[in-house]
Amino acid sequence: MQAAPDPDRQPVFAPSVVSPPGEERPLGILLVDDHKENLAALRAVLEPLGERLVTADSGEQALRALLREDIAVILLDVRMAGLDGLQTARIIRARPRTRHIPIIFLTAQVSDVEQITLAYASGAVDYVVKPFEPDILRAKVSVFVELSRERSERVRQSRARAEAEAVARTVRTLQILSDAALSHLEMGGLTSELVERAATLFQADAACLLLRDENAPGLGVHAGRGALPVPADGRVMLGDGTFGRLAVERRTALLVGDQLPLTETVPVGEAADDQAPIACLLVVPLVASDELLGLIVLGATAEDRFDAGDLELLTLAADRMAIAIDHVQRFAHGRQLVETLQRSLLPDRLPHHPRLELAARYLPSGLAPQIGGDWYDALELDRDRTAVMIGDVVGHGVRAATTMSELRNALRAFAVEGHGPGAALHQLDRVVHATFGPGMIATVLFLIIDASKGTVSISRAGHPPPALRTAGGEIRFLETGSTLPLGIDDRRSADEAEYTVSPGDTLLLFTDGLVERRRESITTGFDRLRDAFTNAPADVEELCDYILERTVSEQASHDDIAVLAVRVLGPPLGALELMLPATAASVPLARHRLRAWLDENVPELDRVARSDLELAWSEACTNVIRHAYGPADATFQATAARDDDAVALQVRDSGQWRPPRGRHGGRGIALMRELCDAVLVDRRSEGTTVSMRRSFGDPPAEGRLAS
Amino acid sequence: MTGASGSEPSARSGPESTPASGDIAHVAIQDHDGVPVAVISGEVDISNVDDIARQLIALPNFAPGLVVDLRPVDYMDSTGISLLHDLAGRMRERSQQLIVVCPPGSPPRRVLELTGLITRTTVVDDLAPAVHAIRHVAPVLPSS
Repeated sequence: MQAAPDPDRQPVFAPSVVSPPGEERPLGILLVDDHKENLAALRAVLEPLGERLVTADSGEQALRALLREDIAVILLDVRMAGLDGLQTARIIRARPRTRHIPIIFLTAQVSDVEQITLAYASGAVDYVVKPFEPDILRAKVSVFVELSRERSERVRQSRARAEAEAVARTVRTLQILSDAALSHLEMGGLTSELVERAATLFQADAACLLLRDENAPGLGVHAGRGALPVPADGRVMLGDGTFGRLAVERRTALLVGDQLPLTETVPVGEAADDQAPIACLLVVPLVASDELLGLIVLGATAEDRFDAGDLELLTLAADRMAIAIDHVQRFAHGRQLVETLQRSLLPDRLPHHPRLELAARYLPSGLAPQIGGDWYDALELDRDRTAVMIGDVVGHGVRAATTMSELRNALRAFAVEGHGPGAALHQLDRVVHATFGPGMIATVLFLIIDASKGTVSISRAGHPPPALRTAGGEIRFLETGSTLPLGIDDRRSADEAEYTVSPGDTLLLFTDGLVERRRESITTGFDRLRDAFTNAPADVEELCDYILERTVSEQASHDDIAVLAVRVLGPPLGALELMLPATAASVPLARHRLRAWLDENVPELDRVARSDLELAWSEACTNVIRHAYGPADATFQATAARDDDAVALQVRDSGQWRPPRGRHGGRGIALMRELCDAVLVDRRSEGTTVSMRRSFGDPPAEGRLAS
Repeated sequence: MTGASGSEPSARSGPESTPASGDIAHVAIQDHDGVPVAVISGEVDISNVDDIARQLIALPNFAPGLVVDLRPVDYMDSTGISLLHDLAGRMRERSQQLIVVCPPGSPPRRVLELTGLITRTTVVDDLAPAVHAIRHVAPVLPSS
């Protein structure tokens, strides 16, 4: 059946909007036919669907309509003058915006159907053969309309969700702009962080902070990104120009069009290249304690990027930014000074011991530009023993720093003189009383680790106990060995406790700032430390960072913090380690043990290298027995380790070498040098260590036989 | 003196054979046609060098010389070198000859080379030439 034209309907030659737009507005159906009577017929058939009908009498007009209208489905006549239906469809499909719109072709020719089927094997395409059945046409159209409605509903929902998220993000970012962590940053870090955060929050293409300087008039660019219409030298004179006037009047502004400053944009930071001209600006003064600090300026290349809501939000954010900037500015100068001083009082580097790994961190107090009294130190006493100290002088400032430095030096001296921890702290207490008089109070923890014996002796003067993490992961605080803080009672006894430590154990020394927080029990702090220590990585550097991250409050710490970690290392994997009496019978024993160890651990070694190593090792052991000791019982240590493609041998004694004597002496060292690639004899007052290396491969002595 | 060593043509190891300290080296004094041969076996180091020295020095002073056979030695360090060096000195003072048997490539040979002793002592590869040399350069023995 063919529908007849209906003169009561709206004109059909121009695309038209039948229903007004609205939240639940009907979807558009585009009807395209070059015969107006056919268009009228289609309208009559589809009107009952209640959707918006848009008509076009040519392919060209249909394409124009698609530019303006939101169309859910297109009914397209195949045979048309000008652009025919198939050509029109091809163009519609080629445009990203219209590609997805379903098309129902209208045709009277069966041959067209074949063509359509071939051309659109897939996609939302259908066809209706004229003369069409109104019910069938309506049914087909309503299916597409329904699909389209579902789709736009999904889009609408995701838009609503995105808006909700945007609001949440705004709130979050506002919090981010007043983040306490920002107050830990230096000025430079703070301002660039604020600019970045604000630019992200407001989707600005350019942003900068114009702040007052100590050394120059007006406001200067402190941090920025992109390009903004600020004066070319980056300096804004108060009262001059748009920015200068806004600053003086402390007014916020949303500027567009001819309100914008006439000056050229100049780069204020990264991402200034290829930036389109600024079309919209947000300018908000930063005021803290009723004092103008400067301006924050955000720029956008799109005129409609910012609105009044953004200005309001930025004004709120600016208050928080001003507080942060004020805080940092106020303390930056003083803090820099004291930190330099403090760091100069801490050791540049910690001693290196083959059996120990040490790492330390110092965190200044986050609140006051004051020097803290925390300190740490470590020094090698002899080949086996390393002294480690940590302390806290009550009070702050330069006086505390001076005291700290004197205590540190005195304690170093006592340690070097050979005092144990208890005796050293006793001596130190006397120094405190004699030098500083009453009122000077300090806590100190002093320990000596003997890596070869696997012991640690500890003495504490009122200081928090060190924590020990065993290789098995168990944590305990070594609480004994404690007395009063220094400066309380100079008749303190020399309390000292000894613990054993094994390879894999880690000791953690710290000052009370690590476990104390205001309005919190210290037990909570110790528990937090215990948890952090339990899970901390093995590497001491990483361990220190991990512990600080887990235990230091987000809020600025009111106290400075020092931590020092010591990890006890075992012998290298697979190494041979012998402790033998310094008697002649030990030489063959050591050699046989080496022989077995070489067989097992360095099977690729050739016969000559093997016997050379045995020889060098025996020579070194022989020397110890000959030269190192008197008649009393003594022991020496011999170790062998595989080191990539070399074998490293070491023989250590703790005796005093006599000059070579007797008929058999004198040849040992020379022979060792012939047998090994490298021989190092380290003679010290506490003993001698002979280290030898022999690479695999050719015997080194070939071609250089001694004459 | 017994002269027993001179009357017995074949090598023997008997009461002279003594385990060295730590049981890692042995010294066997043999007689090869009137030439004493000290066969050292095992490992020579500080733990047994004095014992070995004592046995070598205890040789009869009418012997024309001494062959020290190091072929069964698995290990010898500079203490063994010192021993041989001292022994050579003592024998030189007595106009006795010391010849060391130590074939190339053996463990003690390397030490002899590295320490330079090989250039100051007579070292030969095999026992027969050593015995032969001492029999012909040495003065006629009183007992024969």
